[in-house]
Amino acid sequence: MFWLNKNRTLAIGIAFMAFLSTGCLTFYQRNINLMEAYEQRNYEKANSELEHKKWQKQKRNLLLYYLNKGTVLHMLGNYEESNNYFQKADYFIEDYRKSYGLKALSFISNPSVETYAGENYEKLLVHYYTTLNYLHLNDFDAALIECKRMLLLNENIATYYKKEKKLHQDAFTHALLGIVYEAKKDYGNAFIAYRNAYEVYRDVYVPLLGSEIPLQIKKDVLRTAYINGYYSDVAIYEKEFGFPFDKNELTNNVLVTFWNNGLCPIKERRNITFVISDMGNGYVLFYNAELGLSFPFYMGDNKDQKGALLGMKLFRVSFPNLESRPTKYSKAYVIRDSVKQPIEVVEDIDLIAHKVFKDKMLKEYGQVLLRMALKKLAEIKAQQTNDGLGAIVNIANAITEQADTRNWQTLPSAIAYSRTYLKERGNNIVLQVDGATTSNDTLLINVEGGRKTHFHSFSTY
Amino acid sequence: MKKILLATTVCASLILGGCNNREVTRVDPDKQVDLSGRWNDVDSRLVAEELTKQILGERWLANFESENPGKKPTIICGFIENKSHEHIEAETFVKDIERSFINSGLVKLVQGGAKREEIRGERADQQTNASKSTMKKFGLEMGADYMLQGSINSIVDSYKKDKVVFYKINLELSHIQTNEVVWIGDKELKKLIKN
Repeated sequence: MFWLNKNRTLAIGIAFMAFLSTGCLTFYQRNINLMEAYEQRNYEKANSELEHKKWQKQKRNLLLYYLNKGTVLHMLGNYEESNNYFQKADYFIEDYRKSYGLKALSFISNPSVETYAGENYEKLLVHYYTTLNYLHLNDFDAALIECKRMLLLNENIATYYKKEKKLHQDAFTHALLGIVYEAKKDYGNAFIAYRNAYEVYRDVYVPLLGSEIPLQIKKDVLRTAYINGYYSDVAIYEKEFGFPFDKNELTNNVLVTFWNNGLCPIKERRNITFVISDMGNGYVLFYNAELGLSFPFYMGDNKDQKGALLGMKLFRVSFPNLESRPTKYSKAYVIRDSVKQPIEVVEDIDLIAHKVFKDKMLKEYGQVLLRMALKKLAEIKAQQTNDGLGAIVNIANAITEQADTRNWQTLPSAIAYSRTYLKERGNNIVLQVDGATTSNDTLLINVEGGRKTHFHSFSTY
Repeated sequence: MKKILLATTVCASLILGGCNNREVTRVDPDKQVDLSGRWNDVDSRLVAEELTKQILGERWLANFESENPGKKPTIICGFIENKSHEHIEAETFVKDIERSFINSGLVKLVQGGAKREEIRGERADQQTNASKSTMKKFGLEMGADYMLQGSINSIVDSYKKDKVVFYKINLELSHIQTNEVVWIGDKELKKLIKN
């Protein structure tokens, strides 16, 4: 106890670092009440969970609070209030500047202390929800503004990518823009947007994600090309798609259905053990054979430090790991007059999240390893100076070391879309979802005189 | 030991640095304050002032006065379509334009849209609830000679954290009887936003 008395100030510091850390739970585990209520469709409880947890509103978690709040309010059908929160999230993202102080702090403690700024696909999907909210409110003008903001953000994100092997474009952004332009009967812009969506699916999603191009998007390209009188484009795309344009699609009485299926992947913690070996020339190699990971670090001529690291032989580090959540349903259909039409996936968030995570993984692994190596060196140095002090630093390192497991966990696993052509009145629509079990939901839509696009969205977990 | 203490103190100050008390200062509403780079009250006012100056300084007004000696043209403000990428309250700068119209004394302004409906509702109500001497009659509204319409457009060019936003606000004045467009004006705003 002698050292504790002697280093009381330091102990307070360590306690403070412990205060900084958020315990051993992952973000999902800390949010378990919210997530359980959400999955059980108890949105009132989910909303109250968000309000009663103060840590949710801390600046570093504020974006996630806005995103979850916006999603929960959307599910409650409170579209205006939902948009208020999503707009806060939108402006938070737009105005976000990295705090270099916190960046430095995250480097010596853990990345969870940094303000969560969102993954690119999360930033884009803010506008999916705002658009959906405005469509439910029948405000197509405001929905279009949201789609434009989504497109501008998408274009801006692309400026950060030099290598096209990374996911640098979002096809759904263009598709959603096309859907809203078409609902506003702006067929020229709708065609451009659908065509851009098709090209991103073809040139980016197929090679990078291995996903299929939705048939509905191809139909959208053909239909809007025809309406605009771009007959040469119709001929080109009919040949490319391998099917002809169906003139029965030339009606304005349409039901557009969005199906939000499942829940997106969550981040878990994964411990990886690295073997430390001497590479020579001042380099130390951290190597994991199972994952094929190797990170060389330059230690220079400092034999003591290098020797200390090599002396450890094994080095265990905590990384975030993305884990998919099982979905109950795999297919959904819109059935009108016994004609069964599939609702096709247009944004596979699960696939995108894994691709984005994989693209970032190596860089993050390198950063985490470097941080851990520096912490370990500080611990060894402290031990050499004073045994008690070494123990304190060891505790501090153990407390502060955490993988950042935050993400927007109320997002669906996939967004699917379909376009159903309606009769003038008495449209008896059945929404059917298939998986281990089948569930039906009936929707009665009367199109009375007005030729318009009806929007409907539903979620399954 | 001292170094570790120092590091702990630095960590503490970094965290506590975020706990400053909020400070609120009252500023002159005319003062230009740009925080986010998005469309704001200053943009609204600048556009309204510039466009009002343009409208009231053009030939159509003199033509009207020479064709209708002793009369002032009556204007109604129509729909300003927001085609930009931001949720812009067109109403704030339409109000600025309307105020300038009234203050200039050169034109007359009549109410349109929802406010006109409210007035008509009140007039209808007076037919049953007001005394005959104070009741306002139907069919005596002042018909506007011209309607002001327009749109707000924007183009955004961004590269990483830097962004240029170009706004173009178009207004046009049309004669309600003849559909003749008597004036077209625009105001451009360009903002460079560096993060």
